[in-house]
Amino acid sequence: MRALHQRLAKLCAALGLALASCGSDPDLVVYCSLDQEFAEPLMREYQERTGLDIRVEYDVEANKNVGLALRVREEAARPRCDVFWSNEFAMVVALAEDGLLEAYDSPSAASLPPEMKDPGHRWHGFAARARVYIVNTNLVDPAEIDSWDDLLDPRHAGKVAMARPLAGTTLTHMAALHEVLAPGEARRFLESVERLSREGRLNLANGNAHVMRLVSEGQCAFGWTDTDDFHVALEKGAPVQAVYPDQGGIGTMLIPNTICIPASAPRKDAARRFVDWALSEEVEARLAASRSAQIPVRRGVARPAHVKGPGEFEPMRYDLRAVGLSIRARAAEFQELFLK
Amino acid sequence: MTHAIEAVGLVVEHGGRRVLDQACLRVERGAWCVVVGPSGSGKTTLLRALAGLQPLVAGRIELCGRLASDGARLVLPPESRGVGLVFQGGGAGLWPHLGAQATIEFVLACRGVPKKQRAAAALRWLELVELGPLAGRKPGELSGGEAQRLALARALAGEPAVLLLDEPLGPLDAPLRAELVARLATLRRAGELTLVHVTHDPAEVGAHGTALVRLERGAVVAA
Amino acid sequence: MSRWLVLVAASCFALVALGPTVAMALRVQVADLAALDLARGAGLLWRTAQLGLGAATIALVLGAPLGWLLSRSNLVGAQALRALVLVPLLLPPLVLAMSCMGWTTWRGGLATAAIMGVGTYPLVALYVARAAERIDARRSDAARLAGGLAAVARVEWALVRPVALASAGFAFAFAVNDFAVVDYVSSLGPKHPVYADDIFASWRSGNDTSKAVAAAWPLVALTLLVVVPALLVVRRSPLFSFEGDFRAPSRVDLGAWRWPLSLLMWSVVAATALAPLARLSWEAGGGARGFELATLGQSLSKALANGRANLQASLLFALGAALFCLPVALVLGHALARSRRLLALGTTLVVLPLCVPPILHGVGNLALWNRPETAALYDSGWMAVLLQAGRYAPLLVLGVAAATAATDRRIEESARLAGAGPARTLYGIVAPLLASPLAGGAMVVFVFALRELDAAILVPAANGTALFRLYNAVHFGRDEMVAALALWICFFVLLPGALWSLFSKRNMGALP
Repeated sequence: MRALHQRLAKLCAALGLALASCGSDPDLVVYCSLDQEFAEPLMREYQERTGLDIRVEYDVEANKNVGLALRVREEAARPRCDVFWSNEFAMVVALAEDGLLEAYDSPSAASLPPEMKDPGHRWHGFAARARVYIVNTNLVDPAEIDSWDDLLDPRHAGKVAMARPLAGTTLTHMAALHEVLAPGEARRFLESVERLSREGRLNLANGNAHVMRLVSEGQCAFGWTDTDDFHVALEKGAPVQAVYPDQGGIGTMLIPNTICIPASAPRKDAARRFVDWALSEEVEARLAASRSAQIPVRRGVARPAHVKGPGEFEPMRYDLRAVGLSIRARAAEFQELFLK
Repeated sequence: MTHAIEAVGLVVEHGGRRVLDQACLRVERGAWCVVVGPSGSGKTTLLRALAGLQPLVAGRIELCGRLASDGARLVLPPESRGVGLVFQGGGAGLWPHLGAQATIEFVLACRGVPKKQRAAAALRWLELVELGPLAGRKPGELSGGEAQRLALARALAGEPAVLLLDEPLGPLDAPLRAELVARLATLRRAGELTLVHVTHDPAEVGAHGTALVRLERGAVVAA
Repeated sequence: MSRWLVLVAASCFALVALGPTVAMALRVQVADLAALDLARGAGLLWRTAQLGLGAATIALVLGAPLGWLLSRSNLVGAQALRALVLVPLLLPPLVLAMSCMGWTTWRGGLATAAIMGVGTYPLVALYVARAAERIDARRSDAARLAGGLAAVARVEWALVRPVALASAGFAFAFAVNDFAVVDYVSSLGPKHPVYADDIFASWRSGNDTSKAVAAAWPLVALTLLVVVPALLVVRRSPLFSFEGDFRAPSRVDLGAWRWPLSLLMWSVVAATALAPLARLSWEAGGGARGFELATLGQSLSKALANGRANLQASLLFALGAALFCLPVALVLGHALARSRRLLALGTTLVVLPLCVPPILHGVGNLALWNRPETAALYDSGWMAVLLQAGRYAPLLVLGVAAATAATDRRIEESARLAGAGPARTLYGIVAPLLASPLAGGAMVVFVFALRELDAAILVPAANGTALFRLYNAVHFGRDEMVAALALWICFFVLLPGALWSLFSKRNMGALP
């Protein structure tokens, strides 16, 4: 009995030490909602290049970027995060409006297009994903699809999909449609989507990646997704093609990554150096060449042939800040429509 | 001279029903008090109240001159009362994870007996109830009678001033019952042990009993 | 029991398990409550309750007969089945859903209810098995003399029915709190929104959490309304002292029905326990591109190499949580079982952390611990331990309470009379007596902590776990590596139970 107690005590002591040592003091803490798979090699390289001890904390897909934004907010009283790299912009805009971000006019941001920069330099957008239709070429001719409301076409009833617009890029996309379309048009579209879903004529998936899988596997003919998801399907050899819709119309929506420094970041110098690096053309090129095939927002950035660049398609013209500020109200509106 | 037990106006309730109703009991030191009464009259509850295991609604208990319970206030916790209790039923309340000897050693450890002396002392207590050869057995491996004897040895090993017995001899055969009664009588005479013995059959105590108490509907009707 | 011990344990529990919930509840403003759309919420809640009822019915239909057969009949391989039946309960529900969807094209609300039922029927089976084992042989013998096996079945069903229904209530609670499975399963065909969706959507779309907390209370209340009475029913059902005058029931000979019933039950358990693991193994070995054992081996070693640090972190945090819970649960569970006056209130408070959406528990931890005074704790691995312990300590507390309630109070009373104080009695008598439920309960905490994700995503210290890595990887589809990592997680989730089944002769006795 005594031996057992001694062993238990030793186990507890070892465990205590191991747990206490889990939290070392790093040189830089980055909160990153860019997918771990793509971000990890970049972060490793930066760490090797600078010799800094960097702690990167990722978000999970289920959180759709909100988890880290919420942490930046919750931790404002005792900040830990030095840089917040978001794969979206809506939550960053909200943080900026609430005065939680530090202004920093990075020299690397000089070449970014004006619409990708906050006028107050609190955030910068780069390396974007496009909202495209992923089309299974065995089931439908991609030429038949070209408009944002093609999901409602009765010819494709039961074979189309999108994620529920309650979070992530689908929420942002639908919020942007409300900004760029005629008043009431986007609302009518979503009401039709909800009705068709109830009737089993439109499938609401649990995320863009799921839409990609449904189309790749032939369970659906086409659906809305992001270009990074599309490229994964392509890489896996699925019979799919991307349609950049509304060319000549409202244009295809681009959703950039955004990077910012929390106002209370404890290691601001290191944070600024990291932001300079992340906003460099080199990183944008690396992201374009990665599996996620992010679209550079600057002309002249090197990219593989399968990644479209600025000027190769018509992007949707919208105000990032306005969409970011409308997100909460839109989310509540969509919640009422889709969760009843 | 102070009494071993001085209980006055004991009231105990279970779910709103009075199980003890103004029960009083006075037992002299070294006495063998036999408590009888019909089923449900409160005999077991009386013993549990004396042991400090049963909260009182009202009443007062003094044990060997020390205040033990005062109304709902437990002045002395059970382990400080100097009371032993043998529960009703074949070896009920025995510790299933400890063997017979380990059971007694646990009691001796609680009394502060040095570790080196415990094994021999435990065996002596087990011999007393003729369980010496079964020292390594756990309660589950004992018969009803053996388990009851172990329960008795455990209660005695605490060297209590007052030993409460709740129908302790039921599971034993007649010769063993007589033998144990004789040993209890010896212990009582030698060490001023006071016994409160609940039974349906006062004859099992024979001539050793010094007082007879009758309980009915929670109250002492004859002493 | 010493008041001081109880006070210390209750304080620990209150701080770690209830503190985060209280921190969040304090944020709710009247305006948030007033802004709730009650009509829409009621509709969602009714739809959610329907889903829960469906899942509970399926769990009851599958679990009750299996439970009785496992404990009271000569079913072939009953011991092995009893261990295997735990698998669907321990697997992450989404993994179960994914593998089920791989086999069938059935979708929608009914399919979701079926999957949730399949995921929770082991609960009913285990509770019914335990209750059936506690029926005194003489009761069954008397029934048999009076009317044969049919009379035995009638008498025994009447005795285990409250427990069976209560455990179906637990299945209901599991089902109504999940949204990932229903979202996944109704991705094709008509969508089936549920109330938990609404809470999660409120949280995901907003910049503050008060609205999400306000939105959560109806579901928390519904869960408590089902779980607390169910726990009390389970507690009050056939209780007796194992050391008293109890005669264990004998196993019923099924005669000609033995093999057909064995086959049926093995099929049910194999389909629900082994099929998901087989599916993952198939995917890790190449899947549709052609399964090969060599590929499976390569995937497993590659996943282990890539995820080693994450697996180590998962194991460390889960072990820490289990050990942290042990002393707290021993004192609190024992006190809860022995308290008459505070039983309902105590049970409600203990069970509350399990009924609160995990995401709120995560944010609550952030709000509670991320402050200068506790900075060192917040930044260390201990934070992950506190997070997991706070969420799953109730399982161990309730398990200890249930086990304590089934032991003879006189065993402890004897120790007190022998001179042992409350602490010594607890340590020397109660703890060894409850060794199996304590070890089993700690194992349950370990397993649940190992597969926890929803609360952990918000707490930095808990972000390096294997499940975290798996969910990030699964985003882009399930390849060999993802399946292999999932298999490793399943391996560690199932390992303690497997070791127990192989090397321990005792029942785990960890059921709350």
